[in-house]
Amino acid sequence: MSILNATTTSGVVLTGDTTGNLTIQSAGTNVATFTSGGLTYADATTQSSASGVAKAWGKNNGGASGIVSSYNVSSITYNSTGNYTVAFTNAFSDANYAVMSGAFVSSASLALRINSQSTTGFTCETLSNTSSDNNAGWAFSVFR
Amino acid sequence: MLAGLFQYLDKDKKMPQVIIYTNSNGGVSVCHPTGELPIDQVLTKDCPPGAIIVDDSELPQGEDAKYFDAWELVDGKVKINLDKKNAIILQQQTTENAKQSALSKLAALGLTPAEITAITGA
Repeated sequence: MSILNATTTSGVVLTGDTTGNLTIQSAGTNVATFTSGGLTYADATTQSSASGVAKAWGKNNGGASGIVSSYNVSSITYNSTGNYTVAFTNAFSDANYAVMSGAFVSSASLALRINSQSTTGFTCETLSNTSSDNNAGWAFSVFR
Repeated sequence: MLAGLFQYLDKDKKMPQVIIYTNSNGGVSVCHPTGELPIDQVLTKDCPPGAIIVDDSELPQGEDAKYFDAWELVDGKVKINLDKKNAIILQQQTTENAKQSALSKLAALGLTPAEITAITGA
């Protein structure tokens, strides 16, 4: 893996190889890696300080059926019909983040309402005029 | 014999686990860890004291799973509170009856099915 390291003593130091991958370092610490698949941040903490990227996201089947996939989410708790708590793996420094969300249902009248936000997670609720849709699947992303 | 073979092959496969606890409404909260953290860590970080880890298969299945708001945690097991279940069924029937009554009244006013759908979305 080729490494481009911004050092505090020698400036930029390049260590090359033929993998086709490039890792960016700051004073010897990995920040991000470019591969043929795209950009990957070194860890969630590094990504959380980057601008313009989702700091957390998740997709849920709805109800008690659980999580399909996620990032920077430690758990999703089903509390009652349509009512959930999302917990972040790495907490934010404050609760001033934006949650974008949507639900998977044919009804046009279903909405996902954010009820509360904290540094460690948020609570939300799926709302519909058709009770059978209240446990529809839903997804979210978090930006800050 | 085949069942025994599959059981042998799956002996190291862990059952999906969830964390359950009685929430402030008296119902059951089911916490699904994503796998980013060990479940023991999720238990202490995301759940209140008294929460327990159980196999997902221990939760009510089939018809009982539909009445999640009637679930109660009793001695470490999730049970269906029949009074709550009956109240849910009654509420669903009341809502459906009110809907059908409203649709009948709209039809009695001479509205066509298409016009009713345009108004109600149903």
